[in-house]
Amino acid sequence: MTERTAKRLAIDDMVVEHRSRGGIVHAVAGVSLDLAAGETLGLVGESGCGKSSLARAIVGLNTPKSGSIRIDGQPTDTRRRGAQARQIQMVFQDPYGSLNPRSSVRELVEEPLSVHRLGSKAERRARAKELLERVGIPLAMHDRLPHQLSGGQRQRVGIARAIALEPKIIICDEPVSALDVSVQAQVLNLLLDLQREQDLTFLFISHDLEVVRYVSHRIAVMYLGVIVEIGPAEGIWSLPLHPYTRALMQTAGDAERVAATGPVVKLASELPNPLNPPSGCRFRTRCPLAIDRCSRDVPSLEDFGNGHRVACHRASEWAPQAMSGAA
Amino acid sequence: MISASPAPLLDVEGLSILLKEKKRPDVAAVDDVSFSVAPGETLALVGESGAGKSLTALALMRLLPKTLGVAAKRITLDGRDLTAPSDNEIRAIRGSVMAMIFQDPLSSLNPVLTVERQLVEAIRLHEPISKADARRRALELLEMVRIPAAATRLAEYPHRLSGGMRQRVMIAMALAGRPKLILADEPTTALDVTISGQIIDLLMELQRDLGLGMLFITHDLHVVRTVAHRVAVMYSGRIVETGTVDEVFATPRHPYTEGLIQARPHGSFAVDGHRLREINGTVPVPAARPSGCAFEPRCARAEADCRAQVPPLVPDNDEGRAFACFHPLQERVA
Repeated sequence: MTERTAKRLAIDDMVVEHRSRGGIVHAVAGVSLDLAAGETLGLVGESGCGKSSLARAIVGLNTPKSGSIRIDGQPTDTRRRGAQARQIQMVFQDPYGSLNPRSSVRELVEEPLSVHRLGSKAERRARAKELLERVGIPLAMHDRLPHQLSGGQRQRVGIARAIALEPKIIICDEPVSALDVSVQAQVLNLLLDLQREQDLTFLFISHDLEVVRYVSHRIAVMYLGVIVEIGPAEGIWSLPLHPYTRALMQTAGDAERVAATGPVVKLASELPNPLNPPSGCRFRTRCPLAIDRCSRDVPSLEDFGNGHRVACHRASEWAPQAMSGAA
Repeated sequence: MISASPAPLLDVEGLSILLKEKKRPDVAAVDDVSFSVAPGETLALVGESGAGKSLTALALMRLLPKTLGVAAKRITLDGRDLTAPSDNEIRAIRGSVMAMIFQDPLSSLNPVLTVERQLVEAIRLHEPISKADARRRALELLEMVRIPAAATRLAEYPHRLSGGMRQRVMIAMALAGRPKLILADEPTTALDVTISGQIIDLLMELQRDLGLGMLFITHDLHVVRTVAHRVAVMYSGRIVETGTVDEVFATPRHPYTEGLIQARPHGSFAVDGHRLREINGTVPVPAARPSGCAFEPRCARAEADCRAQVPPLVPDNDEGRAFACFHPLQERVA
């Protein structure tokens, strides 16, 4: 693991609200995250937990109600323009839905370059060719339309578009979830190679815990708009402390090993209505370990050492002594 | 672990599904597959999209459009011959001997009818009982699939339920005709991990309690490990390897099976310099399937004979282990 102090991306107290018929949904209810250059932060949670709202706010696709985003210490405008917009790009889950069906592969990759008026026409063409080759699209396919490509190839085109502007940060929103297993490995390897070559910072969102564990330096777990646990990937995986994380990790396959480190958490019910989140700890209505205090006090993220932070009133009961001592 | 029982509940031999094309010869989307499911047993059909898994289940239910022809050497279900059933025969069996659970419950439930109406309809289709009795049975079914406050849920419309609840209603609908075999087509794929775990637990409990046979279709190897006794790996319309889950996962013999297992991250961190094993290329569409082994163009072990002819599925032991490869991997991988 790399020890870097410079924060490439710093998100501070981000709040994102959506209006719905029933009222205002606090999709993201005060999230702060720091990502170093070259680092991958995996973000996991159920659908409706706010992870995509957070991602879209970071890229500038929706406007947060409050909170700030800094890139290399520089504050950014929420309606980013020009050079600032180029620094954060996004890779989407469904490349088919994010690619213009009438544009050729070559045009699709040239597009971000012409939007930002980079280079001459000939230069953009050459650059698009180079980018497509880098992501593994052979020259013979550069004139094809998106529907003539396989899902994996479309995702490669989506990646070529994302790196065309030489961003520092890429938000990967479920980038391999729509792909077949044998193709997932190709795309993950490509993303990780690009990260090494270009020192890219990834916010990697996925519901696939094994994939997240594989790609991430650190993992953040989100529940109903808040981060409930964050820390080094191996720490979260081998010793999940928040009951919600423990439940997730048990479903992900390491049930026995997880069970050996503390209470077994089985989730009976489903995500509560986000219009009316529970008082105190938002997870308490599904938490078999909840006590009176959980409905009164909102737990804050507490450091259990090595940057492993957990928002749970009871976590210290099963955290190993060595860890609690470090808190 | 249950091994192949002497009297299978479902026995399929030489099932093919043909895409009928006007000017070209028919293309076999599913090509000569054979498998069986014993009572109380789960067979997982695993493979990537285009492997023919869902087509296989839909063919058994005779739910395929007319543009797809179904041909089989022999299909028997619970002692009945289903090789070429008449419309009446299949109607008598669908729902009452075998029932299907689909991936997306919202599109398989009627949006304008309450849960109760749909359940009562399904129950009375199979049993000549009064509406009042059918209502009682509907409530019983919802309790059976562990829907909290079942009595109040009966009056709900499908769109008012969460994805997990809808899938439970689907399961209740499938159980309405007291079937012996459940065909579950990716029943948890559209659900969140925490909910999918609950649905899988429920299916396994129901199977145990009711002694159901289950054909479980999935692309998720982790789910296969959890739910299935035996597994059949499909690739481009054919079964390339089959056996008990333990055996197939511990010592895959077909390079595709091994590739699928290796392509998933398991326990390693990319940060430590691990690279995932890729399988180059993609699954061919049935019309472009190579003449020999369908996996040959993507296979590192392929030789001339793989291009010459289709490797047959050859039994490897008495417990139903079989694989279709001329150059299989060693029995024990280090």
